[in-house]
Amino acid sequence: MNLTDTQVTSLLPLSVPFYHILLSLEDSDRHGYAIIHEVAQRTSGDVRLRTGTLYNALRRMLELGLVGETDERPDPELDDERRRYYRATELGRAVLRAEAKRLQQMVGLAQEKAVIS
Amino acid sequence: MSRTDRSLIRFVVRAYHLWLYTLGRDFRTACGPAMEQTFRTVCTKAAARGGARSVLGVVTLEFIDVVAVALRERLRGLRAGIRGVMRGSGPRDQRSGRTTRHPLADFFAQFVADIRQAIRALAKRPGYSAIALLTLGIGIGANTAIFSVVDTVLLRPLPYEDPDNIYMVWNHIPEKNMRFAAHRLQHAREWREQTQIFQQVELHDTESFILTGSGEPELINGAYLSTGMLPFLGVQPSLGRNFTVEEREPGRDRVVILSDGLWRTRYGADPDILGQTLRLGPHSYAIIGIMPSDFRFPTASTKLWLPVADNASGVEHTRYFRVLARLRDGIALEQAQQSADLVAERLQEARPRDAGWYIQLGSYDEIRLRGRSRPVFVVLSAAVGFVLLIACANIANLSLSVAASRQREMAIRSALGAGRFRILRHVLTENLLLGLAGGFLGVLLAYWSVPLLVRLAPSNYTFLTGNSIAVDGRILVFAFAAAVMSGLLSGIIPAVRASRVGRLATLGNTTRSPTATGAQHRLRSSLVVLQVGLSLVLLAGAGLMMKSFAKLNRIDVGYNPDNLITLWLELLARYPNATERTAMIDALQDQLALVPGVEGVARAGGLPPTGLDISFGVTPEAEGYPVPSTGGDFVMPSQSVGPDYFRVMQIDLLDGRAFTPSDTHGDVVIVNDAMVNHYWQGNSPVGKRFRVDAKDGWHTVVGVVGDVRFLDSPVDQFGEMEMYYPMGDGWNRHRVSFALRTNANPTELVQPIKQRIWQLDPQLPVPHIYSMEQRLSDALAEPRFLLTLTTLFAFVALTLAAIGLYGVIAYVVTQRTNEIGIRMALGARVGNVLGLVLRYGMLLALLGTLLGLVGAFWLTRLLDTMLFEVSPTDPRTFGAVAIVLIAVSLVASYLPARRATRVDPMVALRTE
Repeated sequence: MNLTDTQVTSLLPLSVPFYHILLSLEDSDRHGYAIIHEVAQRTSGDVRLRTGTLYNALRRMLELGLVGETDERPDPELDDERRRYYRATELGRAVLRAEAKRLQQMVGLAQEKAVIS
Repeated sequence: MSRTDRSLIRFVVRAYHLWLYTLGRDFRTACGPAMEQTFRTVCTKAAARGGARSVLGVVTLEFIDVVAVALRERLRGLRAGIRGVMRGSGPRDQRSGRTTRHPLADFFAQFVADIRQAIRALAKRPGYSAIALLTLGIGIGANTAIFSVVDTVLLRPLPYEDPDNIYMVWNHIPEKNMRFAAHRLQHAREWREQTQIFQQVELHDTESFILTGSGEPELINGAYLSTGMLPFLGVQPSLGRNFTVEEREPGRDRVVILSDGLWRTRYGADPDILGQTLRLGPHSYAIIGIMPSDFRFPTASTKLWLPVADNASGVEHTRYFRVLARLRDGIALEQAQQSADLVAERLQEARPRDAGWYIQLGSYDEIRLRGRSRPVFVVLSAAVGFVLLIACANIANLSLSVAASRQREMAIRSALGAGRFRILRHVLTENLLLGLAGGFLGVLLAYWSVPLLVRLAPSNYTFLTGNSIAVDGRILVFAFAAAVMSGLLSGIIPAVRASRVGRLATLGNTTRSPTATGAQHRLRSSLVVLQVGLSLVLLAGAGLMMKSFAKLNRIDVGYNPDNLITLWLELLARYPNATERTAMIDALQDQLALVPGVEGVARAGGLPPTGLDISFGVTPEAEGYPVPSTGGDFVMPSQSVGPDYFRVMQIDLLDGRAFTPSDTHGDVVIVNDAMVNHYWQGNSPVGKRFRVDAKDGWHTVVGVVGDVRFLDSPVDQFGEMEMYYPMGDGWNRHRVSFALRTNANPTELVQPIKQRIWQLDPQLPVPHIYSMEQRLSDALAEPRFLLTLTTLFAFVALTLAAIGLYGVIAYVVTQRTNEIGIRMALGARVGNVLGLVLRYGMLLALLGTLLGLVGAFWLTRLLDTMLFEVSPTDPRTFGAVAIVLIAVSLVASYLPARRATRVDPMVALRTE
């Protein structure tokens, strides 16, 4: 699937939950609680997604095609059938890259003005 | 994980499941199970981390989160829906590609239909609708009216710039637990220098002036302001300019700013007023500005402002000022207070005379209402709130009795496919509509009654506030909220019942449905019990106020207030020369004695119930006796009185003698009974010496008189001690008061007295002439205000409760017509039937009374500070109101009971 720039940029800037969910799915497929846990650990607890917010975001991201549900599941012993696993789509990864770049530019602007070093 | 934690988690997960119903159905079906699973994991981890506490913390946040998500969802849906309705279509169906009708469009259509049906249903029952409307109108109107006063007096911010950073600087003597607002100029200046604490310090003081020149001489309230005061408040003159810094130099301070009102009434809003001069007393002042009409500072009656020459070096003013301050940026109140305490201690070292004196920073808002008036509004708000609750219970009750006759309608609706929610919404819409119409009526009522309320309110309510009381946008929002609330409150029970009945009732059996009526019956009875209980609380409050007020009215003031006229005159403006002033006072006394009907005339500096002089920061001492408490008493209330004062006022002379014309100020004093007990341990002080402060001379005590009660609230904290100075022939102060004992109705003598004064001097204004009864009654304005309103609300509550009880009993009688008919056919006598019905009514009334007594026992303590010599749980008052309530209930149940006795057994049986 070819992604046009407009397709990607129309989704920017990303909301905080979107951004963290995509980051969390970058290296691995995860289920709901795993996302919450990963985000909390990565941000040392600064960002704590709540269940409602998480699923609201996931639902919208599914609609927008940023994430997909996956059927690949771990060993049944480790699994719980009520869990759902999510994976970032190609569009999702592209959007995440674009957002990270955008943020980098923003930070660069602040550095030029010596707001931060 | 412990067992309790496990069961806690099971419980919260179940609750979470239910909680998810706040989300839309689509969301719930798509994500619900996964969310529950995640939620369970979150809880389990939290339990492992910190046990039950941590679980509950997480759960709270999770629950809030769900609601936030649900709200966001709904809002998104609503936006889409409105867009859809605008286009006349809903979103495009994904598969077929056709536009569908948006679900919200249906919702709106149903909503409109509901309203239309509700209007039709209400119109069909005009009697019910009218009563409901009126009840709600009164309830909401009373709440709105009281709220508009509360809003202005308590809630609305003062109309000044950054009002939260305006602080009142009080003098504070922690040791005595006493504080007062007046500062010496030098003091205020010292505080102005503390720039590490204060950004700005400004002062003001009120004064009255005689305005002469064009037109009648007029006594006018004005205020001295430090030149920075207007910028400090963030207020600009609407015409002309502010005071300049130079205008605080003595000699350059003869400038004045006028109020909008004075400019309009006295100068016909002359646009060329600036630069003209006006005469206040002996001096002329140039008019430099006009303030906007809504500027009321420091009081609503202030009509002009003068600059205070606060820069005068070496000149120690005798005037005392109130001091306002803004804290420096970034300094918190606590921090500022601590720094101020340190500064005060330094200043005390420099001036040992001020030992123990600190300042206290208080919110400026506080002075709008003296602390003790705040509870008045709490009580009034609670009272009107109760009235509205009772009104709602009444509507609910009426609604329920109507619902009984509408079972058939509901059954038909139900049979035609109306779901339970649909019926519930239908009935609720009816009540909401009633609520809104009642709210409209209530606003009209408030609009009409607020001016009345303002007139009834003690003058200091409007006096101290910078805002004027009016029905405006905020009030309308309040009324709307009250209307919706009462619509929901009164509608929810009938609506739920109707929806249940709709499901249960079959078309064939609608006249009697025993289960439904039984439950309904209980419900209505409990509503009546609630109403009776609430009105008992109100009645108890009103009863206590009444008793307290009666006691206040019968209070022994220490003099005879009947047939007594008081007046005070401002003489400085007309008589700047002290000798002339003295001559005028003597002439006045002689002339006033000649007015027919006047039996005695006495002069004084000020008169009860409010005219007490108070010396602060003094150390009173009786010679030969120890100073009563460490550091002295700090204050000494006193009064200067003429020789005839005690005779004219009819104050008891207990020991020694009264003043004679030859007694001069400074030599001798008379003390009151309270002072004898305090300073001389009850021994006779006649012939002994007393001084107010170490720096003053000794006075010889020549007499002891009875205590006089002053009703001025600040005096409360000083007890009832009072000292009298002689006001001999040489009196030459700016003001003088006269007390006149009459042998006729005092009000009829007011005009002759004025005439007599004007014979001496036609230019002297005589604005303050009142009978003592009038002045005492003014002093009781606040308790009277509270009493009038609580009594009114209690009466409304009682009436509504009686109507409610009547309704229920009448309903019971109708329901049991058959039974009563049979009983009578079997030989029951009128008395038996009457008893049967009355017993039921009395049962409800007694239950309600009991409930109310318990409630009143808790709630009347709110009144504690407002009651005078009455306990908030006065058993006699409680007993009396309980009897009143039961008597009214008896009447309310007797009327329908009598109707029951007229049941014709044959007719009753025929309908069976």
